[in-house]
Amino acid sequence: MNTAESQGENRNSDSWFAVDIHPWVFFSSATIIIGAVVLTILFHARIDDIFETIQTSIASGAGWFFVATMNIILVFIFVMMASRHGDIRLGGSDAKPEFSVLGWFAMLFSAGMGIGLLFYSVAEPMFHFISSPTAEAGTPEAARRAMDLTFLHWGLHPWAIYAMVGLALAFFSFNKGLPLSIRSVFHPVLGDRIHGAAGNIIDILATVATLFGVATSLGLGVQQVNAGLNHLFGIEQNTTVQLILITTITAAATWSVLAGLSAGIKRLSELNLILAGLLCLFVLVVGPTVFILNALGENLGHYIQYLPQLSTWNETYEATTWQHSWTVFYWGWWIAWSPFVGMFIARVSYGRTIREFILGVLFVPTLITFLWLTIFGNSALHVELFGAGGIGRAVQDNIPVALFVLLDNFPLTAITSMLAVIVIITFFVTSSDSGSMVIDIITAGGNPDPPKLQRLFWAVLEGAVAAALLVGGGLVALQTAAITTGLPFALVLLFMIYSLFRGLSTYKEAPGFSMLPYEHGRLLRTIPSHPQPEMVHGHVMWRPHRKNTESARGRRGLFGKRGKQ
Amino acid sequence: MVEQIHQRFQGSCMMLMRQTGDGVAFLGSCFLVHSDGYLLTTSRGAPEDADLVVVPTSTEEIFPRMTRDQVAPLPVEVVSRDTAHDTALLKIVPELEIRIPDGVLSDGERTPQGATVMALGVPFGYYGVHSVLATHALLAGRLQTSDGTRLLIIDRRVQYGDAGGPLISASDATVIGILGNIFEPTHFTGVEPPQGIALHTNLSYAVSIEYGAAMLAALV
Repeated sequence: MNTAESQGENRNSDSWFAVDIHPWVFFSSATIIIGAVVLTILFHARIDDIFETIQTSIASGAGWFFVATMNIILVFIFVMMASRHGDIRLGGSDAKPEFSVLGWFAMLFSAGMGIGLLFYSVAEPMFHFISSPTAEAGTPEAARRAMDLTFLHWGLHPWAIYAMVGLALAFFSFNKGLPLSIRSVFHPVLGDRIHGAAGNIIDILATVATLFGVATSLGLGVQQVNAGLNHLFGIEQNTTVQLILITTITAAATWSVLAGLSAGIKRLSELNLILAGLLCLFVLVVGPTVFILNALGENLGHYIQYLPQLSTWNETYEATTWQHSWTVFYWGWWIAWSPFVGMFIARVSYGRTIREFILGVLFVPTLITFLWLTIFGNSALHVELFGAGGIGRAVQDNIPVALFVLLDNFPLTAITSMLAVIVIITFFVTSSDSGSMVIDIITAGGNPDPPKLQRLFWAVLEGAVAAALLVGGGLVALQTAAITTGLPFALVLLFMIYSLFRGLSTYKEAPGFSMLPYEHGRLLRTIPSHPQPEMVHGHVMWRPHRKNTESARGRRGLFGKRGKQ
Repeated sequence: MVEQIHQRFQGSCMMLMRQTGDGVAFLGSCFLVHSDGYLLTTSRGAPEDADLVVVPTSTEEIFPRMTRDQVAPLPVEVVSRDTAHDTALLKIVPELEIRIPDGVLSDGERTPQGATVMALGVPFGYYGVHSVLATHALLAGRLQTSDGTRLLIIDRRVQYGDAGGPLISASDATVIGILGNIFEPTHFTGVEPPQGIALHTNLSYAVSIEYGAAMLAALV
């Protein structure tokens, strides 16, 4: 009874017909999702305009707020790691981690960042290189600045957000006994009202935002995969191919989520990491190896040196709007995804201490991300600075193709490009299955191991929503809508800091032993008793000389004291 | 650290009592070691002819009443007994949902001599004080009796009611022994002090936990 999974084992069954739903959250979420999809398909142009306007207003008016929020959270996470709270173990002092360190890292990375990184590791440095906000475009200085900005957007800040949400959810669920659900982090303020209407609304919003976030990414992502396949094999770019891709990815994600965390999601994530590692290693070895290794140290050094400056930059004196479509967009994006990724991270982090959790969630994925960005980003910059060029133009034409254009510069293009396609698809599957798992848990009232039928329902609905929006239109509209939730959720994150700090400050480790009262017993009166010699001196049997034992007994009274002679 | 150990083991220690009609009489201490309801105590503290019950002692009250006129006991049975090493394994008869931390039992070898240990028991149960009290001591040494029984010696005088309670290592919060009695060398060696010279000892002993752990391992 000592794992996160075991928390749900009494509520779950292996039967296909078992159900464990939170009726309000489950049915309301499903209704809102289906209703919103229908409305979006019908009026997607208008909805797109509305949310585009909202998004632009947020970026121009509240950019400073996003920047401040991200920095506050990063500092808070550092403080938590160094404080005495770092010793608290998620799940109690006797909790044992459910997954190996490698499996844990693989799942963290695959759910948190994988897919975007594949496309933007080449595209983003290239964008900043050819249109630099702080240096002359196309120069070595622009290349250096491009990596600085890319590191900023994909580095410690997003992982600090995920760590914060994941930590709050894990703490309130595993240590405070509350459901593994977004509502639980509001407990210090709302008290038991989190189990009522207020909590239902919070969980419904989290469910809807997560499903739209994952489904729209899936819908837009298959268009990008299709573009890549077109570049590689000349496969036509059309809806039919994209629907086949959605069906394939959804089928794999459904299998994964039905198989469970250990058998499905973890194995796929590990496979994912191995394949991605092979691709990385290949580019490192056959690419400009020395340039990459030089750049890795220099990029890291620059990042550490300029982090305070970069992370507090608000374009105050430039009077430009570059940040609106980059830094502020990223911050809104990461925040909007944080309920989903944070929840998944919480689910797989049972048994880690808070310090381990922060080290694992903040630093390890950040370092892997930096390694990845350097290998792919700097390889692309090397081609632009010292090679044949052409990647910058490819990025401007079609972002997903940029990775394949880069691989064209190395030998064994067909094999590596195919490997890249497989990695892209497996990253999609791992994002999709972890998203489904999160929705399953929330709509099952916080049951960390929800029944199979519900897992099947949400995994299939996710694919169906992506397919419907792909055919009917509205993918961009709903994705923009999902990102606009970043602003209200930034306020929630600030509140979460207070909530988590308060929860940790008043936390006392629960007693290790507990037993439910025996309700069928009857009350008996206590009657006086005295210790008996055979009970007190039971150890006389250890005496070597029986004779002496007898004599000693004879001379001694009760309790081993000398009696009357 | 000691505070955390106390919190960890707070619900483990219970009163072992004998049921007689509508009443229960105190026999000693015992402690939970398995979520199936297994408890360990001394063999001599669990008479074969008695209707044995245990009474949980943890309470929500900050200052609980010293004496409990009435208690709600749980029937237990002796499932295994090792009289040679003075250890008995009991089992709670009704099926209850019991939560036990992992890795409760250790062995008597790991904790270094001189280390801090904590003893839990109901020291004055015979005198109507129905509460578990915690005390700390040093692991003064390890000894082996003539028949090979391993004993842990602590520099604290236990009371008769403590017998059967757990001796806990403060370094890793695991049980390393079952509390026995005051350590009087004469009981073990048979060598008596000369007439007119009293032997004073503030040391006590506990039977090393491996005998109890082996009994438990044989059953679960």
